[in-house]
Amino acid sequence: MLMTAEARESSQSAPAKKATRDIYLPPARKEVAGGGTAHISAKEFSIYYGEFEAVKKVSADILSKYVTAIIGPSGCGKSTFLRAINRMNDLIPSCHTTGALLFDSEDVYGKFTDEVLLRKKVGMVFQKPNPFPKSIFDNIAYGPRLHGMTDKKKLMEIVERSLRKAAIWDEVCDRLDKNALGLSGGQQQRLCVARTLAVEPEVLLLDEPTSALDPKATAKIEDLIQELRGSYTIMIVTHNMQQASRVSDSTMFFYEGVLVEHAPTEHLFTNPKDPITEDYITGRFS
Amino acid sequence: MNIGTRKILDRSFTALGIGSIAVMAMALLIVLVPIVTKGIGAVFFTGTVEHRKMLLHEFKRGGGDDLTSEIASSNRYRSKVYDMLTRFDAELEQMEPEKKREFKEKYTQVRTALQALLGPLPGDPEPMLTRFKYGATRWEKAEEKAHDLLYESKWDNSNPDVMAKEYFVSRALDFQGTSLVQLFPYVRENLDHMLVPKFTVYWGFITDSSIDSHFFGGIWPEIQGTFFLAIGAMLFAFPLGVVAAVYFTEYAKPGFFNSMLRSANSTLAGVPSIVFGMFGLAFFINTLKVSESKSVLAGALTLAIMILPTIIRAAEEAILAVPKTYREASLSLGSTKWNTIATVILPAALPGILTGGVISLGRAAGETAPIIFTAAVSVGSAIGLADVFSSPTPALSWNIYNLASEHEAASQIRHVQYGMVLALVTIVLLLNLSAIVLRARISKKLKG
Amino acid sequence: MADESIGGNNRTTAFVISARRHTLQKAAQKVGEGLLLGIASFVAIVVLFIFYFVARDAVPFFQLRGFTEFFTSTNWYPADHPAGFGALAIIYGSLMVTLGSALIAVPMGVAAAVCLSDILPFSIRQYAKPVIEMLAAIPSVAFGFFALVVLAPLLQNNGGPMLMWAWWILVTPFLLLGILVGADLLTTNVKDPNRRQQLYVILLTLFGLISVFLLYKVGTLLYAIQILTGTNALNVSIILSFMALPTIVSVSEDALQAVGRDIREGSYALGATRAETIIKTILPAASSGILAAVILGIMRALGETMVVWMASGNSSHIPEPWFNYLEAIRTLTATIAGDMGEADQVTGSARYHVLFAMGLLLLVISFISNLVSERIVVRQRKTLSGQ
Repeated sequence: MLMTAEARESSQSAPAKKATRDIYLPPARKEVAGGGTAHISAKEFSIYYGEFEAVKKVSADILSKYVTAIIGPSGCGKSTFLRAINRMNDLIPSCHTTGALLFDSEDVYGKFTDEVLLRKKVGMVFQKPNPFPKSIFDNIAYGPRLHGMTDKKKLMEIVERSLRKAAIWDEVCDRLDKNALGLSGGQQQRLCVARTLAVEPEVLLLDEPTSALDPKATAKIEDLIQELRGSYTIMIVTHNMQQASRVSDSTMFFYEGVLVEHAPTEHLFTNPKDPITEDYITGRFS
Repeated sequence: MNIGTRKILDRSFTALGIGSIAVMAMALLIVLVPIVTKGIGAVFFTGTVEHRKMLLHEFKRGGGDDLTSEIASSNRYRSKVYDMLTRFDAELEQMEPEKKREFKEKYTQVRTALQALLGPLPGDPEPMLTRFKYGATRWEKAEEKAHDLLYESKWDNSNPDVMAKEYFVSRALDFQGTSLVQLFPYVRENLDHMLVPKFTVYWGFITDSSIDSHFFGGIWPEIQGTFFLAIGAMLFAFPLGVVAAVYFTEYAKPGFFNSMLRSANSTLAGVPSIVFGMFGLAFFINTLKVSESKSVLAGALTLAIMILPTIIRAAEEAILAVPKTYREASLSLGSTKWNTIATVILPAALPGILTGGVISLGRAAGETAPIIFTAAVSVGSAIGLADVFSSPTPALSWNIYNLASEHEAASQIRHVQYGMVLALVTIVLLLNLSAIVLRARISKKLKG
Repeated sequence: MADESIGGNNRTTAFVISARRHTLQKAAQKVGEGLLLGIASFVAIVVLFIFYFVARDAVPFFQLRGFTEFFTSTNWYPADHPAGFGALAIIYGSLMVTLGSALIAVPMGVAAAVCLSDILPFSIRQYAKPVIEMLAAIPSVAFGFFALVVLAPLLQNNGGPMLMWAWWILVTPFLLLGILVGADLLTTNVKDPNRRQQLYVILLTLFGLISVFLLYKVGTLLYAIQILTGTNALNVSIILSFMALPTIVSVSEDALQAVGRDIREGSYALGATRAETIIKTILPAASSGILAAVILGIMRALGETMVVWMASGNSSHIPEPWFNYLEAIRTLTATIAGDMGEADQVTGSARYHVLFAMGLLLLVISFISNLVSERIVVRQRKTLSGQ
């Protein structure tokens, strides 16, 4: 993030500049088999709160089984866009949309869309960990029970599987009946991931999942995202650019409701096409 | 104003505040202490042989050899008194008519006092009312009655500026020169032999029915009646209240209609309790005819609409206190709104709702005015569960009033009144205490 | 609900449902919400019914006897022939004990609320709140019993001395304060410190002597009073005030807490003492809420039945003189409770309907006070959030 004074000057004068970022780029990522198709598509998609247009005519394709990061300054609409995908914005009465948001070529905001079924396929982890005031087992089993599963043995299998996938099984396997609120913040967040995985979604939406966590817990979550990559389509909203560059394959940059740039992560951070993008990632504003 | 005065004003202001709270605490003590100390006396007291006789004959309890020997021993001492009476009867016959008249009145007073003390005297007809079949059953009452026997009370009206003063004249003086004069010192010295006072624990006060308008026996019908009424009220009000609270918190959109509903709730909370009673009479009994006249059902319904606003308020608060994040998490996992309410929000709000419920239960148990016209009777035995739809019932709250204000011998059965008040206050305070404990448990549970 | 098992991760579009299913779902939702609305409306229905049924049986009275007699005459002989239905003395009795209890409960309640919200440390607060809650939980008939069996004999037998001691205990602290403040205020303008000191001492002594004289004189006057009956307006007012206190305290405390920390901190930062901050800043800001609390407490006292039925003496007459709390009076609630048993036997008569007329009067007063107190609270909320 540091540029010497001469380098900045030289970059300002020369037209085709290359932004130098003092960060570590991971080695070339592996291709994911069976992925890469447009899982979620936005076509001229806008979200309004009453009269105010919070997200302005976004058109983008989210690739399946890869990790897409959404970055941008506060209030730019990234969380709003994320929440539109699983229709959590429905909780806000004044919210309405125009344009199309497609999931597997079906309109998410169509007239006959059942948001309950949609949310089974699109799971969400929130900024502040929010386990239910129930036992760890009951937290994970909540989703499957919702969808009709009552067999105790099967539930136990699902619970164990989900907790293993979320890399927290070893830490809680001997206290599944204890209250989930007794876990640390980082453990609670991984529990929330496990809970979401238990309903076997196709998409994972992560809304600033580590902003309330300490660095160690953050690292664990980031490792977890890497493990889940390839099995789920993952979208992560983050205000931490290093995190975005560490974990994601593709990055969307929002500014004041507009999708300014959407490119593979390496390209966006090393060679941004739009000047606003460059200003943002060089820290001109945050 | 100089700083010194300002500081003094500040201190006195603090003192005023603390003083108010101290006064409230003191008032609580002043009200509770007599109730507890005298109420306990309904169960733990010094009882006489008359009490044990009463228990044996009326409730078929106790008895055994100890009692028989006590009765025999006390009769030995009493027989002397009876002999003296017989002797005086004979003397009386011998007297001239005017002297006879003079003595007769005073003699009747002495006989009456003796009957109150020892029970029916030999030669007296069998009393109709049970209360006259036995003498003084409690030692403190016996001492009072003995005082009545030994002294006559007179009033001094000489000073017109001050209220009349009571003073006592020994009755023995009236009977100077007759054989009866020995009666008085004899009674004074042998009272405990005649009555055999012993420390008694009478748990039957709680489990027995009452006999002869609470002269003897216990208050179980009243306790049961209170339970029936309170629980009946909760059966109606609790489900209604919780559902209404769910509507207000989860489904009601801001608007004229819903704010009217909310106003209605607080209006209902402000209606005076006697008006609830009138409404219960006019609506449930006279119009809907849920029962022909007073019944537990009508009373429970009336109490239910009285406690409904409290339950709604408590449930609303409890539901609103559930963090929004739980709602979000549940919905994002694919739960419908109703399912979220049933599986996440209501369980999380349950402790708060239960606290409000328990407090309302206490209120329903303690209220009198709503049940005066709809459910309460003064005397009666404990009704069976099947009769709740048609019969009225005695209840603690109503009978406290009745025994203290309308009973013909209210001053004789003070211990029963205190016992009833203690029972009612204990029930209500226990309920409130458990609500406080529940509330403390909530914060622990929700914080892990 | 979901037809596929949890195991599958098929890429089928299983979240779009058929139009028929959609309408069914929406219909089921509407029915469910309608049911909830119905149950919630039950409350409003009950209120309407109460008004209707009480009014229905109250109106015939006014048709039979008109309005003037009820509100202006003290001739209360409902069982006589000819009957008199003048309820003025009874209405006066209700107002009298309500006012009496308010005089005691309002200053105490507000002071206690202030104490709880601003003065007491948290540890003592934990114990103070249960005390107040327990006071609120005691059933009214228990208070009535206490008033009848304990307080009334006390008043009757020791009336004079009790009044004298009450006078001394209540008035002395205020007199002391008054002396200090008065002397201070009157000497602030004197420049020379020595003269000021002298004048201060002189004033102190002067005021002190006057106070002692006042205390003594009134004390002896009170001592000589004979309370003829222990069941009187004073007895009832005292007990009612303790029943209204918990309401006043808790609602006022909420109002005081709603005035945020910033206002308090601003005042302290300017050098005000705690009392000054509370009196000059916080109380005015919370005044609407406190007013609402007072109204609620007063309504509790007005609507109370058992205590007044047992301990007011139940004598329908206006005391002589009008402020004599030592006489027995009668209230609306006690009249309804006491007379309904017999009046119900003669349903249809004026005697029966007049009781409903009283009930209607109580209902209307409580409804209006409730409305007023709600408007006040709403207004306060607007001012606090609007600023």
